[in-house]
Amino acid sequence: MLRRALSTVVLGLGMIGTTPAYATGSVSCPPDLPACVVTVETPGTPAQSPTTPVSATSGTRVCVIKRTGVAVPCFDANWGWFSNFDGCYYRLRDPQPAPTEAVWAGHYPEGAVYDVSCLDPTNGPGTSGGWTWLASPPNGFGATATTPGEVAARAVDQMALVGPVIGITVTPGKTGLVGVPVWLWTAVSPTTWGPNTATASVPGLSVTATARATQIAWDMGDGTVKVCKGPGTAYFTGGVHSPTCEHVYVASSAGQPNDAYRVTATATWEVTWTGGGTSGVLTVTRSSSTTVRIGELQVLVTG
Amino acid sequence: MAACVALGASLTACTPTNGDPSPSPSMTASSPGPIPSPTPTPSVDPAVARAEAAILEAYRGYWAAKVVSYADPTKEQDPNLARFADDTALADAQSTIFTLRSNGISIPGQPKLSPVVSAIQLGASATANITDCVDATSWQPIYTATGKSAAAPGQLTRVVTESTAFVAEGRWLIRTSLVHRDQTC
Repeated sequence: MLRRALSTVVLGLGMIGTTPAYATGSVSCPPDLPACVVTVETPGTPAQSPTTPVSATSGTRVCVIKRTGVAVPCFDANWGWFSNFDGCYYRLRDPQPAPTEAVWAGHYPEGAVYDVSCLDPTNGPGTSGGWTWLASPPNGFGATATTPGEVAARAVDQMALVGPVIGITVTPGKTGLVGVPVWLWTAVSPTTWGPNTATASVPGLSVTATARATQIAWDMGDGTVKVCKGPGTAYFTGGVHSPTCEHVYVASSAGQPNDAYRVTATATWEVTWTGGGTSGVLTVTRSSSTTVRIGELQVLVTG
Repeated sequence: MAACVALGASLTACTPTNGDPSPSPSMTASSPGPIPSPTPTPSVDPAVARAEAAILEAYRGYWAAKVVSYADPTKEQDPNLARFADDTALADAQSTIFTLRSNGISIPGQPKLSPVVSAIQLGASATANITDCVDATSWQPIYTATGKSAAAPGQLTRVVTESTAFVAEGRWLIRTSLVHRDQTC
């Protein structure tokens, strides 16, 4: 079989006297064309110039040729499914080549043969593709393709983030007072406040995610939700008001289930991730709960 | 089964597969030589003659599909491309479409073809070679927006092109096609 390198050389301006508008041009020599063509990647590019790179914020699959940053459709009716890993389109060869074809290399009937069309041959080992045997479908193949966003979600799973480890001045067994500030905080660790970084991979795609908690919403059980932008401040002896996060109850918890308010703390995490030629942001929350008993001062006085 | 080697008008030989090795066609830089006539000689085995006609049909269909596709690379490629080309010939053409498309280049006009089929092997793993002198004088790349030439300077316009064909699903298809830009003809 004929195999050859796609040759690419760079010409300086002096060599292309007729195209002075371009600072430099690359000469691309597609193997099936008699004429090499001058491709221009500088400003002043002729029509249909490559589009700008796309960055996903939602985890939607985005297909990009890594070397150039050019965005391409993830699926083409003629070419098949794009793989960000190698910049090639993969289409299942239908029907599959005869078992005698060399492409099987002894694997028949395991795996499958794909028609591969590479858009950026300078990335590859010298051809634009052709028949390729693979044991399993390449990343990005088919409607169920794993997206970088999905891999990012797996990275988040690996972090094992938990809800706030609730610190509260009215611990279980004690009774707080109406009108007295209740301090609210979480113990700070990589799993309760961050930052926390993890990498998850599937074949051909690796995503690194970093998670940071941005706020905790404290549902105090009395109809108040107190949102604090930090982890709060642990109580220190002699403190009255928390410098960062507190709540003051105005009514006793008498009459609530078990005569206590149920406090639920929900941390919101912002996760930034990069991988698969793109990047994104996703948000996750983690919650935990406790209970607090609040009494009125006259109860203590009279009781 | 017989292995038949048709060398254009100059020589046709059919031998048993286990017989003497047949002379194989060659095309080298040092002796490009005149392109032999594509007309088969009257003594060709009818099966080989039918194969040759089918191979030429596939080859011309492959080129016609490329000409249509490269004339306006912004459009979806000619469906005949996948009908007549396979494997690396198809991949190369599709890659070329993308290169042209993403650089605003198109190729109007028509090349002149003079294909000659040789080394036709029939049977289970049927193959053949096609040697051509592609005359691209009237088939040159331009920047679509300006109409100016997109061809790199100082290139040959008539170039030796070697292709291979094979049979898949009972039809002859072009499997590889390689332009020798350093060999004129």
